[in-house]
Amino acid sequence: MALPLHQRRAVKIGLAAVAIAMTTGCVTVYQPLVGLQRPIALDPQTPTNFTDNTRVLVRCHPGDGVEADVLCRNVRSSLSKQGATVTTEVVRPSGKVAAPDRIETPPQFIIDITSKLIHHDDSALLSLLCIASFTLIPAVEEWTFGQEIRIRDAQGFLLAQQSFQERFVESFGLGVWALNGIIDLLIRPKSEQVTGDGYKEEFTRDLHGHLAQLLYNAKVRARVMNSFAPEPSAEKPKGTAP
Amino acid sequence: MNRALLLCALSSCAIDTLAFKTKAERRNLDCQRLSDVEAAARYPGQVPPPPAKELAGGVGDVLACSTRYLETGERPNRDEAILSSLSTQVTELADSAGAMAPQTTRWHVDAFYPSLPVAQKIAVAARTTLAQRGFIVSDRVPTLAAGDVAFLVTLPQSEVYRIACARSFVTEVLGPDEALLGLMIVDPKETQLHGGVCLRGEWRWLP
Amino acid sequence: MRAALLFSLVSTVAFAEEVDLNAKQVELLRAEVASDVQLQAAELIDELVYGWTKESPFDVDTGVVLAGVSVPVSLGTGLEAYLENHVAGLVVKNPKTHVQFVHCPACSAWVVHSGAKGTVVTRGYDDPEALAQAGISSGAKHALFLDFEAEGASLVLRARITTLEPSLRIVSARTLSTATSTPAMLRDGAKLTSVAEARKEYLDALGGRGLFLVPVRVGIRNYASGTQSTTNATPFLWVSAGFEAAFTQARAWTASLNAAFSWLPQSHVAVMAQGRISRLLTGSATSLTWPDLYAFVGAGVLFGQGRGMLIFRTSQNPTIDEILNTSTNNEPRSTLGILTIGAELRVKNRISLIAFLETLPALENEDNIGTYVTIPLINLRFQSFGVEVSFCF
Repeated sequence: MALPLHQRRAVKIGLAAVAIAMTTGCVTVYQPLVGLQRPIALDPQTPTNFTDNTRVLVRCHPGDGVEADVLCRNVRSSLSKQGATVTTEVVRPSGKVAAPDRIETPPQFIIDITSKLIHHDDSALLSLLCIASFTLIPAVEEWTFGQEIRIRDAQGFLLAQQSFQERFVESFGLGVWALNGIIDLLIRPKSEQVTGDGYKEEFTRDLHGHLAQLLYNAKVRARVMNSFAPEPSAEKPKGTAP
Repeated sequence: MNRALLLCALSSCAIDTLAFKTKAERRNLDCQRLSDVEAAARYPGQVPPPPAKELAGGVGDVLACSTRYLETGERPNRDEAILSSLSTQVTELADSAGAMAPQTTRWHVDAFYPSLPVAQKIAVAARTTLAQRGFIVSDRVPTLAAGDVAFLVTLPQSEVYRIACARSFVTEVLGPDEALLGLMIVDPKETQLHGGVCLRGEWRWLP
Repeated sequence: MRAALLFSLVSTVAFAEEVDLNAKQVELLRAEVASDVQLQAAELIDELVYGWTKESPFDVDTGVVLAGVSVPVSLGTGLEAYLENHVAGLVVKNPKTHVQFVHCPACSAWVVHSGAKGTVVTRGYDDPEALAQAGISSGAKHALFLDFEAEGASLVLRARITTLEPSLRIVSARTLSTATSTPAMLRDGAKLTSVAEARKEYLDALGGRGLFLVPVRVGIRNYASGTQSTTNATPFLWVSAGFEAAFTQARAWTASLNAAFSWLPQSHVAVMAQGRISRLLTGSATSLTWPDLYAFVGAGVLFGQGRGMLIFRTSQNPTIDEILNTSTNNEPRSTLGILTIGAELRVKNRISLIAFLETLPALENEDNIGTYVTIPLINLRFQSFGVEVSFCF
């Protein structure tokens, strides 16, 4: 049996709303602000950057909008792939260390990573317009994060430090998403595409690359400060064969 | 052509110009956040003066971005990393060096870097910094005899600066009232400068 | 085999052309960067020479060899020549510096000097003893070196004056820096001023722009053809003048009020009053050098008389008799409200190009006039499209 006219119209509007909600997406743009856009001389893809028994403790400090444990895990993975032996510590807001990795030999280098949310902007007016226009007008939200990285040797001597800042601008809405999707599909090369998770990869590549460069610099600085003396061999863990 | 200046008062900007920039263009910007008041003073005519309530202590901020003179990729990565932070690195090392010798010491400066033009930039920066600090600085670069140099190049890096320094003092290339500030990289994959001072035949690395 | 050889040759040629093209693009890019750098570099030299006029490195007029100008690594030598000329010109115009440039081609030439310690090959200014012994010294006792380097978004000048004696002692050194975000002051070489004074001049120039403008506009409005109408509206030519006010020097928000007049023989006489509020889209302040894009909304009232106004009548379609009726006593009259949205591209607050759409709410349900654009959700019809050229005084 055919539905009355007003009911058919309601069904059509409902289906259109569902279709819009399903196809609406975010476009996030990443912009390095401080430090991260500088070039590095090291290739972080090289698995032999830290193969000469480089032992590192990565200590991640908490910050607004930052998951310190995820950051620590990712950094460990990145440095391990380059040959370093990495242990991690996540410092809780109370100052206590949460579930540190078991350390068998003392680290040569201690990396302290402090992250914080520097700025957050969310326009209420644009959000209202976004809702009123069925997301044709995008809602725009923006975050600026900062990282402070310090690398010390086992004695606490500061070998390297660097500050980074980056900005993420997220536009939510059907119009902006569809328009960028079409441009991505037809015009932009893959490296320039803005829909999808490319911004995460780019930021991770920047941060991990600079972290590796900073660790490498710290390692060379330590060698110079020791007048190129050969590094003492690491203590063997107890219970292992001589 | 006017260099692009991206100034976006985040609270009032209708279109964020970031949206129209390519990845390469975004990476070619050096940015900093400024308060409304500071931004209006620094960029008159481009950033409007903040409303009175912000002058009275309210907080608003502006992202001020400057385009870098040379884009990423125009110079080799290591050269760019060193040159971008030349003033900072050289100033730190020159200040440390200045504290290691009496004020009456005559300073010579030399830089050891694979690219000659970059090495000259490093040396000039250090000389200028030391001279501005009131030290006696010479433009002359002390050079050892060809035979000494031929021998030094066969030595490992851990020995070369120490022995070259001792040899300079013995052969009177450097007098007792003279010091050499050496600036260098010691590893091809690093992007930081190291410094060492040769004074009365003794070589010391700078912290 | 022959095909493979031919292909490889073709691809080699294509590759060579590509490399050649890339090289040309790199050279073009470098030339562009150099042209950007030269203003800031000249600015730094202005500041250096201004500093010498206030505190000269010498008590009396002293001969100085301009020994070298080095530009940022990877930039070309054309910039060096420009900067040498600039500093030489400034020093001549500012005798208070006590610096007198001396011509000494041998100083920058390579000199071979053989002595008891061996043979040394150096630049002339690095080995003044050799110059003196060869009798080609210019008599100058000092050499000036200018070194420019691009450090991120900053251009740094390191200037040093060295004695042309065996010790090569540096007697004066200065480091100056500027950033790409700072506009060059473009100071007058013959009358150098301090940065503070130059900034004040700049602010005065900005202040001189004023908050108020008088825009005069010439434009045309066209109306969409109606579905039921037997005739189309003729395009209306308008001339208008008015008054525009900005809230701040940034001109991010502006408001304007205009009176317009339109006349076409045998067709119509019309006047219109219109107000607009505009918002700058390209940044938060107008640019001194680039065009600015505004979006605006407006509202107005139009009153017209004549046969050309028949199309705006709301009651019924015009008849042939009405169209042919030439009696001025019975000319149709219309008064209409208008809502406008549009965009304005303006250059230096002087000339602008405007495009807009207008809706005539009174004719919302009439078929005499058609629709160019309809906003679907609110069913707003724009029946008129127009463009204007505006001159601001």
